[in-house]
Amino acid sequence: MSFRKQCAGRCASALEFLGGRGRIVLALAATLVAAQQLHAQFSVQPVIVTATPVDSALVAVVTVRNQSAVEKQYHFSFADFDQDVDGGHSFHPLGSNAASCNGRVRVSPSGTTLLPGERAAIRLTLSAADRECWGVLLVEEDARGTVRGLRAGSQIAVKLYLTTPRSTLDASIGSVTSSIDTAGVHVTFEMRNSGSAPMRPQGRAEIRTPAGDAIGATEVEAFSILPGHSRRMHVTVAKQLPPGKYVIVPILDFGGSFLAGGQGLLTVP
Amino acid sequence: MRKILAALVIGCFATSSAVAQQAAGATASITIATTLYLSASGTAVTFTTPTEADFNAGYISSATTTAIKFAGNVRHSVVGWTAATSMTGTLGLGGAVDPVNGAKAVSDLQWSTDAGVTNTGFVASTTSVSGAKIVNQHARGDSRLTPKNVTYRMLLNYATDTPGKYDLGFTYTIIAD
Repeated sequence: MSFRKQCAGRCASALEFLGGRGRIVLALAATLVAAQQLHAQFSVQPVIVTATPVDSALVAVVTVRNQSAVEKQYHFSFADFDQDVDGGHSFHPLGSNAASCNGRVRVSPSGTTLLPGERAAIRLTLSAADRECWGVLLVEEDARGTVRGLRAGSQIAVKLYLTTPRSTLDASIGSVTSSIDTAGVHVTFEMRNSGSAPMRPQGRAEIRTPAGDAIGATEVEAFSILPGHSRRMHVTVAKQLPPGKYVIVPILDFGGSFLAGGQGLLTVP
Repeated sequence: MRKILAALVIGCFATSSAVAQQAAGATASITIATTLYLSASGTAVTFTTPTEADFNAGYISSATTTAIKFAGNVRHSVVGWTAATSMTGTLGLGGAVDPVNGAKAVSDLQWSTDAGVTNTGFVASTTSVSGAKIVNQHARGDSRLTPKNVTYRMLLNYATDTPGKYDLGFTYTIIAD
């Protein structure tokens, strides 16, 4: 079932029952649409699942919890996703990506209803294969019952990465640029995943003197890079520098056998 | 000889200390999973009936605001997106003269997180959807006390926006980086 077909099916049924799911209405005729203050409130964990099924299928469990004060209905579906160089996400119909997990992931159940504070387990049955794949489980909250109105849907996405025992981790940092203003030193670097496995590198960006002494640093939080993709990251080291020349050094642990590093020069006039 | 004796005594104390710690010690461990939280209130987005002044201005602002509260122990984003290629037009006057516009662009719906200073249209696509960056790559942490308020406006055009009711489904999704 494609992503579009899934949405179309759900939307159609919701349309009949709820009078319109996730809708914005512009009344150009003399009609004022009554507002309904609906409130989505829920959490999901884990939101990143990495697994390496070998020979036989694995089962991963994701938990959704209704944190609102009323009973809620949830739908679970699976889709492809991609991420661009600036970290923007796009969602695609299942099976459209070259690295889709189509046919390798079974989601059960397809939905549930939870009382306030109640939680439920979503089981992902992950089949073994000889290639990596990735996708996203979309946990969507809907109002239940006879609520009629016009509203936006709310989702929490769970990223799934499937690797194989032969998956490789390799990465490099390309350009490193920087600038300075009153907020500190703004560092931009681009990192490329040249391995076959998705990765989530993390580390720090340092400011060093030409002699190699670190005089400032900031954390680079974990971020994802899909295989064959690059990410451009921006971090700020909150430090003022006297005039001079400096070396900007991002150092990232991506899970491989070495740390990825890069360097750029910064001249403070 | 004195040094050896001292070493033995120290070693004896060290050993007995280690044993004592082992006997009285306790351990604690916890496995914390990646977690995301999303709360969206005011998700019923409505517009009053546009007047000619709104048409002349080219848009009408929404009567409601969506407040998005979010939290996560990993870097995350909140994106707004729609899989629809166009809005659904219904309840028009009908006929060949005033047919309802069955293809009002989804980009005519614009969102803003800075009270309307910057307005961005939703993106239409038949095969994939790129999320509008309502919250872009937020550091891990709890942002529930500082909700992101989203306002909307709808672009209006005398020539294309014939009388009728126009709907568009869209979704807010929080996703880890």
